[in-house]
Amino acid sequence: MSLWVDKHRPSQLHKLDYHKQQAANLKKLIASGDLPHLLVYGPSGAGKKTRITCILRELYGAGAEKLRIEQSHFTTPSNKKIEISTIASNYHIEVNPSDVGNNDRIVIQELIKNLAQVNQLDSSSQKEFKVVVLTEVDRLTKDAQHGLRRTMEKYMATCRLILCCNSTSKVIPAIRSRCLGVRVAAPSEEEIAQILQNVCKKEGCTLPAELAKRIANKSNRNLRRALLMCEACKVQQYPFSADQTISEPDWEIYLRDTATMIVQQQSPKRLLEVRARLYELLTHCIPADVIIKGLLQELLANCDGQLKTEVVQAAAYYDHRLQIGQKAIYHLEAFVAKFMAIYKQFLDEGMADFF
Amino acid sequence: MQRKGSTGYRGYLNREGPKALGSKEIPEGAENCLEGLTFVLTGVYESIERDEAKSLVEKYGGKVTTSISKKTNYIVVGRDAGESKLNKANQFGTKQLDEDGLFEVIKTRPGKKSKYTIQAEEAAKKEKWLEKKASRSSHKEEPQTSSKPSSSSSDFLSKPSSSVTDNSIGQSKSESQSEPSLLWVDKHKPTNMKTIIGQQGDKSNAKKLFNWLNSWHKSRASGAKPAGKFFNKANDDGSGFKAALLSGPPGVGKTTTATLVCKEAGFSYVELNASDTRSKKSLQTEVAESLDNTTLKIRYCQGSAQSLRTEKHCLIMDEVDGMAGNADRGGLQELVSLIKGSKIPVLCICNDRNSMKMRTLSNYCFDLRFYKPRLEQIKGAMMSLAFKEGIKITPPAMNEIILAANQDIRQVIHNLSVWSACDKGVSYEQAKIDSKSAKKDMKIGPFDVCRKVFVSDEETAKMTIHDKSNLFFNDYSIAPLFVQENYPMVIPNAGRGNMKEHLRLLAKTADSICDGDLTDRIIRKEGVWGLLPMQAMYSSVIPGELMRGGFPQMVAFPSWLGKNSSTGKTDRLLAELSMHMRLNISGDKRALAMDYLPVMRKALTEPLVQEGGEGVPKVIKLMDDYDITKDDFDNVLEVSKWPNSSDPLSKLDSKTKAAFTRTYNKECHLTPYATGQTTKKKRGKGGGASEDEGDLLKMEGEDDDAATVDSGDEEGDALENDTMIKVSLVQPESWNKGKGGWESLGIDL
Repeated sequence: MSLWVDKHRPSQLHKLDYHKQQAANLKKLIASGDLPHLLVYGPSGAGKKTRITCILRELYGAGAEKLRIEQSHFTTPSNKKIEISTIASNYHIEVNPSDVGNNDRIVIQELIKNLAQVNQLDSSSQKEFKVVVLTEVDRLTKDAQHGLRRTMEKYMATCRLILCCNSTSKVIPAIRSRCLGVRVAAPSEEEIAQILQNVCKKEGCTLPAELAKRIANKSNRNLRRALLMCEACKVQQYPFSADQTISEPDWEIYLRDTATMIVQQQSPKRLLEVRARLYELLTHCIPADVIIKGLLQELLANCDGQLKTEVVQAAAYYDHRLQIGQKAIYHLEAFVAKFMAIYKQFLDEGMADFF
Repeated sequence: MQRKGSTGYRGYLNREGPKALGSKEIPEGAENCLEGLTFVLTGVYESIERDEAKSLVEKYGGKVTTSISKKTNYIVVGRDAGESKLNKANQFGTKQLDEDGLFEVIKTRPGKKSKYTIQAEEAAKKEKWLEKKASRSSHKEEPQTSSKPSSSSSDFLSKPSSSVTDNSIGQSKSESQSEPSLLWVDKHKPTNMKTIIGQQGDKSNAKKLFNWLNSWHKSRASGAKPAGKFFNKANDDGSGFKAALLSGPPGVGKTTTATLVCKEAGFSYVELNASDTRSKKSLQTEVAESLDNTTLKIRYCQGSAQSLRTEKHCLIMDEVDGMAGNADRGGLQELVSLIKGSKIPVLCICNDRNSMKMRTLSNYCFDLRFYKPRLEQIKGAMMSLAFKEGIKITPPAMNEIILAANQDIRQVIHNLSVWSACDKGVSYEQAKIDSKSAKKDMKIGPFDVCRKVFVSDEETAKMTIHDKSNLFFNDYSIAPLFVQENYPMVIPNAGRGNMKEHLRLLAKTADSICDGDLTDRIIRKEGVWGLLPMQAMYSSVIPGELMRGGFPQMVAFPSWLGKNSSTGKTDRLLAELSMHMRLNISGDKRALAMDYLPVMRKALTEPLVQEGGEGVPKVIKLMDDYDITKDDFDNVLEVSKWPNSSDPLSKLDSKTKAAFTRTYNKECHLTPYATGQTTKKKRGKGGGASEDEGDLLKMEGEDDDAATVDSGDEEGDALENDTMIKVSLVQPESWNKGKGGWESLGIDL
């Protein structure tokens, strides 16, 4: 009784639901027998991982789907023991080096070397190379990325890398130029609605087109979220009605309430209350950029044209600082304080005009 | 009325300074002419700054207070004087003076001897008298306390390097006077318990220690146990402890108290301090035997019961917090074990009781904390000391010196002796200048730092930018956190009553703090510590300048630290969950937190809530599908819990909960990862090995069906990595056998 999102995940390239041209291209590429390093990028919930598993399946057949979880141990030069779990089949290994934080360089160097230094004995029956899938490459430290670039060339004969990340802007150009970029854009709302209906059909229930569209809209073009929402809707009320409420994740409601609080009142006291709520969001591991985006969306709804540009500019400014800074709360709070100042000024001027 | 008050306040904010500064001559008055008088200064004076006026009054022994009471003798009124002060003055009938009046008072009032000088003279007279009496009596008979000859104390001690002091009357007065080379600190050391500064009271540490020491043998005999750790701390007489720990800042007389109390209680003592090696070994060889040498002593002088009772020893371990580093390795542990088995009392002395090093030791010790004596307590003693040494010093000058030394008695005496070396008279001005240069560098805590950063008062008004950035350097790792935590609580003077301005300042401050964070990142990441002063500007000085104003609340401790660690915890839980679920889900741990868990939370609990016991198999099936354990189940609920969401488990009746747990534990769950619950497995095994093996076979059968587990593993080495821990449980046995066989073979060969 897996959730729908996992149950109905396509596992072969030709079964993918959207970006079909791209899938066909990938298929052709693999059919030629070899492939370059790949850099798969796109927003969360667009289907990057799905596409990667499809590629692996296309390369190695069903054997690539038999996975196991393994623990690997490494020792840093400073004699610190680090442990990382990997997912592997006989043909590939998937690892998220950013799990070990600052020591990711060691993992990358050791793991890939271990794997790549071994040649396949029987090259007639299978491919000559193994595949290493690295996820969250944009969270790698610069050191690790630099460590990666030499290995990529040196072990080309025995190993291919598939890198997976949300945004290429944090991947160093040296790596970008060594890879074939595969952009997996978020599906359009129509595509999502279509997929939702297909899945519901497979599950033997009917989904009104209206509701499918609303879910697609609510999901922010994130297919994973759309499917999960759809299933939650089914649990909540079945048979579906076109205007039933779509339950949202708790954190989204919480974030929206926080934004409302900011608009309601601008004072140091309120700033402290907002800070407590921001901390709550951060302790639940909601990424800071998601928070600032969510806040901005809600705040903008309460702004006039002139004010909008100012607020968006501030949000962009603090979002940038979030990336280069260390303590997320500082920058989030600075954004809130800035908004409060701008908004208060705006309100006061409005009042003055009014009288 | 209120309007008037507010304009008055505005006037106060931008009132001008003295108009004709220095136009009048500051009068010279007789010494101590203002003693016993209390002044209140208000308003701006024509020719003199308020601070100057204050120090002028203090110079002549007067006291300056900030608010008027009945005891106030004069109020010195200047231009724009405070209204409420004047009203009060009228009410109390306080005499009003203007600037000239003050000068007049100084010029005309007759000087008098300071009361301290009088006291000191009296004390000296009394001492002389006592001395005479004592010398007369010593002719007749030996003083009682000196009954123990020094030879006995030297055989008490086998260690030559440690100092031995017998408890006969120490350095007699005449002796110390005949040695002018002696430091003043030693020369004027208190000679009995009553003269220790700040330890005269009935509840004082010295008294407590004295009682404890006296009843030590008695309480050992009665077998008193240490009192509870947290209760009754104040009334605890420490009878349960074998050792006492004296702690407090330097120069308040801990060692003096310890030695004097020993003396008065009739104990002879061995003192070990930082100049002795106090490693584990040396403590064992040298101290341990002296700790139980009373037994030898008893045998030695078995004859007289009289001498038995007087044989009292104790061990003073001075500066125990210095017992660290290579030379004294293992010393503290050894000391603790010595205390446990000790047959004599042990007095330990340290500065910081709360340091990590003292943790273990403090559990075995009677806790006595010494605090800095008050200014007045030191002043009296110091004045009499100055009189004895023939220094002329006024009480206010002494005040300055004591304050500058931060109430460190030892330092006060040293400073006195240095400054009076060339000149026997120390004037107020001289003392003020000197004490400024000798000002002890005080470490202030982060709470005070934070307050100083924001608060606007006389002290901060005078601070230079350098001083302000120095505040940050009191502890540069935590200061920015304090500033960040507390800045919204400050009410800035610049934006008082104007919310728009206030918010603008808040935003600017927040910006500056962000800049500080960016700088911090660069510093830590690239190791550019040269940027620290820049961070000081961004994270402390600029916020302080922008927000400077009132700080009505308590300084809060940075919540970032706690929140950061709980973020870390959630992150760890998520990492574990995503590792467990990885075979089935596609997202990383962030996607897990944001998309999966809210749905999982419902899916895992809804069946239980709605169907009760019927829903149990459904939930367990879902858990097995996603390879999550019961622990993970709880973690999912914890991570996805929000203040605005209800707790689904609270809606469950206990029966369903129990049924769920029971069913879950009964069934066998395959996970593709190693679970760290070895205890559980052992318990299962205890039920019967044959049954386990049956399970095992069944599990292997299932394996092949499960698409997730690699079927090609059978010959692979990944076997032990899979959950088939049971397989590996069997394997090691056979391996051991094989190994054992080899080993036995080897031995045979």
